[in-house]
Formats: sequence, C-alpha cells, structure tokens
Amino acid sequence: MSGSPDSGRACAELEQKYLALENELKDLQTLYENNLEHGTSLENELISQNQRMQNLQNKMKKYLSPQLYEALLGGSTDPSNRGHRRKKLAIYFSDMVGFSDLTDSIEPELLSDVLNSYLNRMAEIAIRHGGTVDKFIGDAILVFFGDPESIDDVTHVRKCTAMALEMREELYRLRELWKHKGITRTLQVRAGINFGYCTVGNFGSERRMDYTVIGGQVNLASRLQAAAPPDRIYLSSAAYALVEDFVEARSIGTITVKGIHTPVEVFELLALKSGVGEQGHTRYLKIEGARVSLSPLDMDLTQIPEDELQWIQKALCQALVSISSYRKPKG
Amino acid sequence: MNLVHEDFSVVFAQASHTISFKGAMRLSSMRAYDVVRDFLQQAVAIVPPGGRLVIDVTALQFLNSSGITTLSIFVLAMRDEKRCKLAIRGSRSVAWQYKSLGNFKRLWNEVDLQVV
Repeated sequence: MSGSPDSGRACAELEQKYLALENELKDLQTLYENNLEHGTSLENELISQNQRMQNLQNKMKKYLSPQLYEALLGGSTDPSNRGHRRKKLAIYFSDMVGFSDLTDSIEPELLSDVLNSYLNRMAEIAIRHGGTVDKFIGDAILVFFGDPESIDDVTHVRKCTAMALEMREELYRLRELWKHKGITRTLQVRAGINFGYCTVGNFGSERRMDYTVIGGQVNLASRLQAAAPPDRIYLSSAAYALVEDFVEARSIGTITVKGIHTPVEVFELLALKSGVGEQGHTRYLKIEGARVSLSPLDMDLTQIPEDELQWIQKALCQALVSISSYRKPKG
Repeated sequence: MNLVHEDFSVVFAQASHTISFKGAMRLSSMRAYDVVRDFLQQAVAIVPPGGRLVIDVTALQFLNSSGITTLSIFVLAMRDEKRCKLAIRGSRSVAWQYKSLGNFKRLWNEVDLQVV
C-alpha cells in the first residue's frame, strides 16, 4: 500500500533525521569511550608518577636527616625559600686523623668500605639522638641540634654530648672490625662541640640550595675539633655550662684558636655522669674525678645476654678513655 | 595569533597553518575551554578551502578530560564541515598522547596522524 507523496517525503525526512541521530549517537559513543580511555590513561600516569615520587622520596631519605626530611615533605620548610634565621644551636664537628694518608696505603674499595661504614654508623647515631646531619666533608662530620626541631638549649647540648660519646665508642668498635680487614693503622677521630647563636637556613643559588649552619660559633666548633688531640672531644665553656650536671669533663684551660682574638676556655668531654639516663654500664664502672672503679669481671661469655655484653663493653671503653685522657698534674 | 595562559600556550602559525600547543592544559570545565574552542575555530577559518590544518601537541605535557573532549568535538566539526583536511602531530614520549591521539582516527578516519 502506497501513501501520498507528502507522506513519502515526510517519511524520507524522518529516515534522514533518524540516520543523522544514529550517527550523532555513534559519535557520542565514540567520544564517551575516547574520554574514558583518556581518563584511564591519565589515572594510570598519575599512579606511576606517584610511584616515581615515592621512590624519589625514599632516595631523599638517605641524604637528609629525618627532621629535615619531615620538615620538607611535611611542608613546614619551603626548600625554595632562601630564608634563614638566628638560632641557638649545639654544633658538633669531627674529623678523622690521618685518613688521607690511608688513601695511599690501602685499596680504594677497602677505603670506601671503611669510610662508608664509619659515616653510616655515625649518621645513624646522630639521627637516633635527634641531630641534624648537616654534611659530610670527606671523613669530617658536621651535626647540629636545635633546628629544624627545637626543644631547649640544655637538651640540645645534652643530646649532642651523649651522641659524641656514643660515636667515639662506636669508633672503637669499628676499629676492631677494620683491624680484621687488614687495616693496621689506628684510625682516630677528634671532635669539638660548641653552643651559641648561629645562622641556620637555606643558602645557595637558584640551582643549588644547601640547608646548613654558618657563623662564628660554627667556626669555633671546627677550631675546637682541630685543637683536640686524637680520640678526644673538646667542649667550649658555653656548651659545658649547660651540661655540667650531665657529663664528666676536665678543664683544659684556655687555648688560642685561629680566627678568635681572645683565648677560649676549653673542657674535655670524658663521659656521661654515673646514673645519668638508663646507662646499664654504670653497674660496672664508676668515675669520680680522677678515680675510675671497675667492677671485678669473671665472665662466661656464652652465658651473658647480648645487652649485658654491650654494657660491659661500654664500661670498658669509657674506662680506657678515662685512662688515656688522664694527665698527671705537673710537679 | 596566540593564546597564552599561566600553564599553557596555543600559537597559530598562519604561514604553515599549524596550531602548536605547549605546557599543561587542565582547565576546570568544558565551559572554561570555550576560549580554546574559539581559538581553534578562528584558526581553521583562516585555512583556505581544501587546505590542511595541522594541530601539533608534541609539547603538550598534559591534557585533562575536558580538554580532550574539546579537541574531539573540534575534530568532529571539521569532519562534518568537510572544508579542509586535518593533521595531528604528537609525541610517543608523552604518556597521554601515546594512548589517546590514536582515538582521533576513530572519530575521523581521514585524520593524518603522526605520533613520533
């Protein structure tokens, strides 16, 4: 049955419209699918970028102290900000004696093993005590307390001295390991601790920033380190005044250091005072002025727990330090 | 002729009839992309009938969903208008381009696509 020409035209128009709508729908479907795929691709890219960022953060962790890492990643410090501030800090400087001479006498692989094991252990100790490892300059170490995390002056110096002593004990332990590796030369470290106003913050150029400390008090810590005999830790009077009740130290008197016109009063850090903190080694060792008392030891090493062995080792180390650092009064 | 935004730029070189995108396009909605859509329409109007418009996204590091939809609708409009040809240039090293530019051919099979 055929209809009128008008209805035939209308039907053809409708068919055309239908086809156009069908094509439009097809386009919309393709658009929708393309958009979905694009969105998925962006999401996947986001996930892989996040993964890359995480890996980068993990790498950064190795190069920054936990405090600084937290400050940077937590957003409390803007790394692009070249701002700096004056702050009272406890500064620790150490340098290995004769390490450069060693470079000529042992294999580079062994040398890097020695240096890495040393710096690794020292950084671990510094971080455990809450210090900010500012930098390693070859075998020299600069650590400070009081920024970015700040507690109080006394705590900063206490932590710094406790760290310095633990670092020295760890060095004694490492020496034994190095001996077994064929390093016959005794590697010794001298250290200096100072306390005072420093300028701390981000210094550098647009391309390379360094979060560090500068100032006269930092220089003094470095000079104290240079003045200290091997295996000794020198304290400035400003640092000692804050930890008198916390550490055993002896007065060295005044010394003249390069760059500072007036003589500087110096103390030698010997040990933490007996009964300070949870120091298990004090059961075996008492130090009172020039009197060093060691408990009689008769040990079956197989029967002693690991912790106890470490306390005994620490007691013996401190006794050795006290003996080696003691100078008989003249006359 | 060019369109400069904080995060991206779009430049139309009249001699080569090439629109070059650069930067990261992450405008918040389709409406926000009206300015880009208008730019594309002005550019294609300059291309003589039978000529060829080149869209170069090689330096476009990021394009969000509203952005890809804006480009897709533009491709569809060119296809329906049948006034001139379209070539798209992209880079395999930019993740979104490697995945998404191929889909323009699903919209218009005659698009000359080169992702290198």
